[in-house]
Amino acid sequence: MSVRVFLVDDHQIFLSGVRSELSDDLEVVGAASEVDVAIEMIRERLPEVVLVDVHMPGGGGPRVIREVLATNPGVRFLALSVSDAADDVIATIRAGARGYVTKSISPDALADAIRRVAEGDAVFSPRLAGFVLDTFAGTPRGGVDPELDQLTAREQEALRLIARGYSYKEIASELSISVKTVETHVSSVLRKLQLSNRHELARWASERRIV
Amino acid sequence: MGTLNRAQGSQGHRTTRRVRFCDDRIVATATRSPLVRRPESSSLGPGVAAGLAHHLGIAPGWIRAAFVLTGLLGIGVVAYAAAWALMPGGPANPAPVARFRARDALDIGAYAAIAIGMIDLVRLAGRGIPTWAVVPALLLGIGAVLLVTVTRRNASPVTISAGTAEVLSALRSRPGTVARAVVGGALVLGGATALLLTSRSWVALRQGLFAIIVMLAGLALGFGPWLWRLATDLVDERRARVRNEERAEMAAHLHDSVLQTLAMVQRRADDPREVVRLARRQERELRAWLLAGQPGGDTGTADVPGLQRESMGASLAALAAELEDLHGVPIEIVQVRDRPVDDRGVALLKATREAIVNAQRHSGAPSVSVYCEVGGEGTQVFVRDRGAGFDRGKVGDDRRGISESIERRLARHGGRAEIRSEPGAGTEVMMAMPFADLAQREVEPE
Repeated sequence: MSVRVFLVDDHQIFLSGVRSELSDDLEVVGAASEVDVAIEMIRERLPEVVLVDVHMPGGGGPRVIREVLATNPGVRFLALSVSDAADDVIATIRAGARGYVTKSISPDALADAIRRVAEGDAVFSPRLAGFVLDTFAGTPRGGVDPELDQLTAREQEALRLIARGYSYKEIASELSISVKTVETHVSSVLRKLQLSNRHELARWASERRIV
Repeated sequence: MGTLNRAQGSQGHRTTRRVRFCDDRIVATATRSPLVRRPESSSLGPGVAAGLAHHLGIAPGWIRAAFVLTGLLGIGVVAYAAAWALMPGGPANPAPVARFRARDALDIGAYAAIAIGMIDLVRLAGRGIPTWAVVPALLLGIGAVLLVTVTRRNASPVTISAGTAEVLSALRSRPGTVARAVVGGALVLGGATALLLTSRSWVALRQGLFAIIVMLAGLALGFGPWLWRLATDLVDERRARVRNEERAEMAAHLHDSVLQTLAMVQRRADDPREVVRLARRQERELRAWLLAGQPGGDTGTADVPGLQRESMGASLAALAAELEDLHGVPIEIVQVRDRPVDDRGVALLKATREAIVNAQRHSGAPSVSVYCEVGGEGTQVFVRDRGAGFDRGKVGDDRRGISESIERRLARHGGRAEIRSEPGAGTEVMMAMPFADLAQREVEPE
């Protein structure tokens, strides 16, 4: 079963590069390099996963995600970025992306990440994992839902291993849990990242230049 | 004092010392050897007679005989004490002795002569010491000397602090020493008892006690050089340790800099301009390091060009950028929390550098992951690659990278390293450095 993928990036070279790399069991159903065009095409072709660049003129990735999700909540987004602009990455995640990876990711790992996102799981790059650990390290700030402001010990362990460059499979064997459980932990972290009341999230991230 | 034994010591000793003399003469440029004491480690004596004899070029026996004869009159004691105080200590003659032998009897004789001499001196000075008190005081003093020699003959520089325990273990392991201790103890007890029994009045007892004090003053002469030697042994030991650590840091530094560059030169041998560039770079770095005169290779910062004292994360990023340029293998850094870089941080950075370079050069992995977390107790760095991996047991001892540049370097500053590697699955190096105030052990001397 091949996963239908849509690419949104304003760099033509990158678009063609990804296209050639993802030929096997991932079907690229389209690509766009402008925000408005991308929104149109995604609504029309209904891919399972959209690879979206964080930085784009005209509102960038976050706007694409928000507008598509408003009408088609079943589409899943995986954010890609080259730079360390943390506030952009966080804005993309908060807009509803299921994951974030850097463009330096290997083709195999990228295919893996796309499949994972297609199945509804979350994908964190090591840097994003590190950033989340950093942000959620302090005590909760007394938000609406304190649960959302804290990571469980297991979630922290999983994130730490992601930050150290471990794959989900390696994390599972390291922590003696199933891969499914690792995915659950990471998804739960993603939810906290998206819904947490830590509104200083993006500011911290950009101050520390670490996503 | 305690010198008669050497005049009539075993043949073996004499031979040894003659050889030493020859050595000294070859080394010395002056016709007359320097006037220093030459203590023999098996004896209590500070080596005054041996030193004088060596200096004057005559047999030590003559000097000793002269000291003993004049000692009985009292003058010799003063002369001996003055010589001991004025002559600087020279090299010790090693001569371990374990058993109670005829030599010890000679020792006792010599001490007795000195003691009698001291009492004569005091009498000359006009203080009354009754004759009846002399013998018990002598017994007491000789016993005490015997006990002292039990400790001393078994004292080694490393275990000096364990005085009592040492005496006990010596008693257990050496029958000759047991005899010594028993005889010594009996003499002390007998002398003290005799002194008390023979004293008929308070005044007499006081005179007896005075005699004991005089004896103890004599003992102090024996104790003095011993304590002094213990102190110098301690200083020597510490100096040697510091020197060893400096050497290890130097080796680690050379491994990190010069050897790495040489490896690069070999790989780029077909590109003369690149070789020249590498050589120049290394030359600059080495000069800077030498001129900076930093004895601490682990904490010297000349070879950490991107070091930024205020931030571990920024320093790590600069390090990664430099190594990406140098070896061409990309490095991904994840930093969680940050802190300024102290000396321990510098050591950690250098170990991290070594781990990254190892991954870049030996693993064959397309990239290296570095994770650095500043936690509640210290800083942890993980360097991971998905390359070839290796079997620790098969890495030769001559490869200093892991043991010297990573493990021992961290250990010297209170940190530690753990290496997990599986052939085919890659390698992860975990390095941890506790904050300074949490360290168990201070490494820097003083």
